[in-house]
Amino acid sequence: MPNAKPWSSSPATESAAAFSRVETVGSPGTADPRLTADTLDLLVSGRNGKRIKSTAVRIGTETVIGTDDRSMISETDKLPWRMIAALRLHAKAPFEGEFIGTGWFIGPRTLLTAGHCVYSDTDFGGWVGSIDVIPGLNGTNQPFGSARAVRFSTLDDWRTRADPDFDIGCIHLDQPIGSDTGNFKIASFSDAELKDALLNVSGYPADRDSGERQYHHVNRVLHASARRIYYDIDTFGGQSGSPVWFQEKPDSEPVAVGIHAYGIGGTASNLNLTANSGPRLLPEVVATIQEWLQVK
Amino acid sequence: MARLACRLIVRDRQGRPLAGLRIAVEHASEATPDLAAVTGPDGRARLGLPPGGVGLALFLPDGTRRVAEIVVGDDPDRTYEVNLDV
Repeated sequence: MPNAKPWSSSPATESAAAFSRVETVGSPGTADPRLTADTLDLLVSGRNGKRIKSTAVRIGTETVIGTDDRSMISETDKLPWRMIAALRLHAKAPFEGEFIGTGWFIGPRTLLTAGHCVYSDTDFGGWVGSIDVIPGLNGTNQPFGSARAVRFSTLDDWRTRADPDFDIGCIHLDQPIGSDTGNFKIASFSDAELKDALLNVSGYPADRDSGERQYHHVNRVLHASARRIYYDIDTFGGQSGSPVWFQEKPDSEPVAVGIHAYGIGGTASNLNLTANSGPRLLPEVVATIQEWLQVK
Repeated sequence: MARLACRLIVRDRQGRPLAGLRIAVEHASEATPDLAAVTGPDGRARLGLPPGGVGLALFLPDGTRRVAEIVVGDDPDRTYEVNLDV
């Protein structure tokens, strides 16, 4: 057998290793699993090379972009809306005050939200004191009751550096309310999977109905950076922590791919975008969240 | 993001504290999270804000919207008074 000749390979032209898909398991919960006709009308699915609405001049608010096209959700006891919870955040002494945010179930006892809803040096002096979780809040109606959480988790990159790319937090409950409401599946989408994806965002904005009703809006991914997703979907203060989700078809399982955290001021000027944004659920982030799901 | 811990106190035209108001940032020099603060019984709230001009949207319990501008200084834990014509 002759010896092979020395040989070389050209440098790899692909810039990164294949993107690994990491995901969790969703559940419709034990309550009525049917999707209503109104819900199917509101949700967007699939991908579209065109934006749903044209670019409009910002009308003066940080996060409502152009005309306010949000839709109020009245069926908050139905899927997928009931998996989304109004949050009432309470700071510990000596910090005072209450805040409005949004969270969503990823397991029977576990919700995701923005990191700044559970840890903030400037708003809470560190960890939040407690959070009242009200799934599917609809005015005075609490279709699944409420629970007070005192245990939270966040990424160290958020806690130590307040890096908005890592603005992800977790709420741990003692009661398994998520068994009734159901929970989102989460998945790390590659850049190719995010391209032209139509996204849904729903949460509890403070500018409508005292932050007690859920509002939903949709549009296409405008841009995906290494760690953030950008979209011109209308939101307002109070919707921090809202799920950013994708559905393959109208009646497909909702898959969360990001967490809403910032208004248009959070979009760097060099991107030349008017967009709201939130951190992507990347593979290593989903792997961390899988550990959070195991926290007792 | 260089936000500072800021205290707000919101009063009506008679100088009485306004409780239960929801406050969100309309515009600021830097990105701010999409949180909303709620004033307590004494009209006070705390919010992390970047230095410079900040536009606030305030929502009364009846849903009425008001706007206010404050200029956040460089020192933390300052109290900023917001007086609304209500």
